[in-house]
Amino acid sequence: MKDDFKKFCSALRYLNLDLKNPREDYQTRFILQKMAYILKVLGFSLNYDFNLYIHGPYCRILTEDYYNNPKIIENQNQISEFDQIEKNILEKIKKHVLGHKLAKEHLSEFLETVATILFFKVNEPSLLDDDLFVKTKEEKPYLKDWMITVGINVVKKLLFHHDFVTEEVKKEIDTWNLAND
Amino acid sequence: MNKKDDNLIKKIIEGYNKINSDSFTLTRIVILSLLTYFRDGLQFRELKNLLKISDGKLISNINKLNKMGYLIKEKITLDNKNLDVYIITENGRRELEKIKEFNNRINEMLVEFNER
Repeated sequence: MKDDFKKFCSALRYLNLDLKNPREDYQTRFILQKMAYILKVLGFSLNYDFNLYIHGPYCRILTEDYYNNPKIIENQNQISEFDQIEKNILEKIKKHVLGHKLAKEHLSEFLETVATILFFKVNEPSLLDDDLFVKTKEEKPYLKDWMITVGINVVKKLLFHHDFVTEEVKKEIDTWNLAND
Repeated sequence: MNKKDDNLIKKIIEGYNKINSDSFTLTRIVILSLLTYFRDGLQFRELKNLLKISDGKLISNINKLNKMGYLIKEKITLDNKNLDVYIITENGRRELEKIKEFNNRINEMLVEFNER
């Protein structure tokens, strides 16, 4: 079994996802694909390549990995340690994705939305919210408008780096906060 | 006609006889190819969105492939919604392999003739 797959399984354990045997459960397979992509894009070192077409983001090699090692997904024993950067990524996902109220009843659809928008944004960072909305709707017409809108906001939170907040930006935020008071 | 040409044509005819002609339509070949790539299976809406064909045309092609034993319909639950997912069978993979071989033979013949 590849180290990348072990690491991915450990991340799933950390995220405390309810997963079943992927050979038998479609929802588990679906969640695995989207979660692996979100982890990778946020900086988790997983050597999987994804494409977007139809079912995406989707990785054929990852599919082979979980079909060949279904038990490790089901049992989810934590086998890898994480460094601080990886822990931060996992916490970000816990807070902004899995902690979101939409994740409670619509986990698969929510993950699909977030992963798809992330794919567009990462491959074309200049895309604005409206463009992201249109592209997502074109690619996945069955996703509801409100789901896409929420997804765009979640993606912004996921891609936000605290180093973006320079002294100048902080001052401006403080000014606006004072104005609110 | 030389011996090489004889062999090429013979292989094409052999390949033709091996293929189930009902599986040899563009839509059906594409469905089988997609289901081979997406081993997890594809939902109806995903196939429809990609192929851009009517529900009726998609259903009739899926039903035909299902009847021939090349794909199965699996009932799944996604976010508490009941959906159907289509998955290729071992017979479906074998049939697609035959089609691939057949195409290779035709390609071989065309390359051979174009080189002359």
